[in-house]
Amino acid sequence: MTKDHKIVFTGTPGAGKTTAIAALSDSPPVVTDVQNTDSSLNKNTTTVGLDFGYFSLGEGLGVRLFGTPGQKRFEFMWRILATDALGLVILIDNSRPDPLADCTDYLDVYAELLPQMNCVLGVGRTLENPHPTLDDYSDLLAARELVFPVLGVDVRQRDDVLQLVDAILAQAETRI
Amino acid sequence: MALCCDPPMSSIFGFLERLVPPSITATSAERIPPASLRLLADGLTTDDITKIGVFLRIGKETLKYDWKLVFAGNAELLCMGTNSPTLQTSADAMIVRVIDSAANESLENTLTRPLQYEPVLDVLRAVERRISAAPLVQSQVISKASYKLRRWPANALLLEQDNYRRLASFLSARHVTLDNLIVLSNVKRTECEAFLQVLDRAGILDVKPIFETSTIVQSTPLPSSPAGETQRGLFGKIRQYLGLDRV
Repeated sequence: MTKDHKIVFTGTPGAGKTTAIAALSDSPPVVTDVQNTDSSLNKNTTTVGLDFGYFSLGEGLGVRLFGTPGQKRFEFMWRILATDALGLVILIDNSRPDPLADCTDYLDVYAELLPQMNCVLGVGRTLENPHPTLDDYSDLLAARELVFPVLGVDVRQRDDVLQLVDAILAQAETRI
Repeated sequence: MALCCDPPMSSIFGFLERLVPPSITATSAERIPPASLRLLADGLTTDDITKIGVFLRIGKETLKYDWKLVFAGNAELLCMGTNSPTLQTSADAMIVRVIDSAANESLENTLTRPLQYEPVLDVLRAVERRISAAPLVQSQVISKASYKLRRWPANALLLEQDNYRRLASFLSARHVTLDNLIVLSNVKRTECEAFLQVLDRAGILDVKPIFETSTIVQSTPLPSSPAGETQRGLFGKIRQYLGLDRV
């Protein structure tokens, strides 16, 4: 019997969940992308089910990587996937019209889980869109008495994705 | 006029000291700066306090650190209007007496009334010089506590050193002792100590003292259980697989 753990990537459409999973997965991730018909999203395809990746640690151990569909109408899946996860990565696209409101949506959906959960907030496209700043996101968390890492990331860079996982592991290791 | 803000409930230097209830409550909820020093006012007149508050604001651009005027708790500078302090503060705080101009002006470490901008700023700069040159926190003191972030630090603070962001992650979920932080992060003791000190100055570090009989906080590094060992092994394997074990 294999013993798997899971890390869940959630966040706004176009934030790079699929890309982040691909950066970690042993094999190309299973994706459920379809042609995008939402004109508000600047991308050709979008995820409607979930993304799945996996990396094996040997000896029957492995880590499953799930990406939630970004669009809000799928939010019923967000919590289901995150339950019992080793960690939750929330990815926010700073180029969207109101990224802080996007972030608030995710904090609301996961409100019950977050105080006990290993979580990291990854904010993308901060170079081209410096506002809101990372400190603005930290303030948002502080207002909810939440303390978890807020990192600027470019998920096309594997090292940035690894930093997200490192932040998850750091929290997990202190909770043992 | 809002002159004050909350002091941290505890700090590295004074967590074993019980705080005296503040005589003046906080009236502003200003944003916590990345690093700040505290001026503790004890026995000063309203006029003294008002002037100091104004001087801190005017002098903000010329001072190296952000200064906060506090009325209880730990501080780097104690300004007292009486001959002996009525409040407890950090043992290594610089102490300055505020005296009437008619009194003996030859005394050292004194400011005379009415308070003037330059002499007050000179004192603040002297404290800043001392802080900048101060050695790291004594290990034997801070190893008797566990630490957790009150909030995620300002990005500018985390960019000061390469490892600060990683160290902050370890402090974000649970209270962690210095020894545990060193073992978990594989970062040098001196750097971990310096980081704790920086967080403490920023007022965002929650410090829990560890008492010998405490069953809540373990002072020994990484207490182990079979389940814990299994989990630790798993995390180690993930780190190894992803190359995160070579920090």
